[in-house]
Amino acid sequence: MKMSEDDRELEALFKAARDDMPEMPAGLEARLLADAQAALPVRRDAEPGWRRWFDDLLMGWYGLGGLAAASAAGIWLGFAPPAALPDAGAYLFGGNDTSVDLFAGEDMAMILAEEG
Amino acid sequence: MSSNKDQDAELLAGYASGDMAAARALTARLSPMVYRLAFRLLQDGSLAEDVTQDAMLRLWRIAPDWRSGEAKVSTWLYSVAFNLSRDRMRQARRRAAQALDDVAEPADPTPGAAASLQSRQQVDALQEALAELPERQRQAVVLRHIEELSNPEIAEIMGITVEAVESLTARGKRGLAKALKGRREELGYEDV
Repeated sequence: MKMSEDDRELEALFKAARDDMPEMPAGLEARLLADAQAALPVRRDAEPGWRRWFDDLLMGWYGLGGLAAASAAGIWLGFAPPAALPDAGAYLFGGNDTSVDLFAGEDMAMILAEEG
Repeated sequence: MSSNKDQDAELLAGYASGDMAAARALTARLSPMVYRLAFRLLQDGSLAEDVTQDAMLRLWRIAPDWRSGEAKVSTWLYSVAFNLSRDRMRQARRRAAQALDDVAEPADPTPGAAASLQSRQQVDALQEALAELPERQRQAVVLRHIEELSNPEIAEIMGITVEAVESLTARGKRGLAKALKGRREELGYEDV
């Protein structure tokens, strides 16, 4: 068999293969689109300008949540400070003086005497 | 292969900015081509389906970082599908080697509807002959003569030179002619 004959016959087979187009299975396109939807990038230019500024500044709602929690904790400490802390309100608004005894009842003279 | 490279890149940019209509258009344009290539390389409908889903998922994920002008979207996708198909082929071969005692499962080719009995015979004969070729020759012949890609495109997809593509397709065609020699009468060709 001549080479050109081989080519001609092979080309007929290739053409038959090209015409025999395998169809995509039912449901595959829907799955591809579901993947595309799940991987869809966020459309940043669709957000209002203030929203993008807010997101960039505070990392969005996560940042705002942290800020709100820290603020609430600060206000609570201001109104009801733990007993171990000095009363900031008294300092600021001229209330009673607060003294802190660092040695909790120990006599300074005794300590100095022990150390010789 | 998609003829309008700018349109694919524009659609991908549209998807990257959040446009689902662009994803639908890209899916319609590119996924049949990916499925067809995977099917022709793997000869297995369910593996071709996996490859198509995996390749398209990679396209969606690369969309925000896609740089227009550096590559054609369709060629990039062909490369991904080609590599995924080759990996699946090797995995299947390894599994087959590990399970020699198992009864072989029937193939699930779900081929297209060939127009006539003779066409069906021709397609089947070609597939059988292709299956006998070495892997790279088979890949080059499928890409060149069935998918009708250019040699430079095939070189890019397979990661080889254009000369190597020419050599692989030439040897592949000689191998096919040899494998089909005994079936000429069955395929409607008269012996000279």
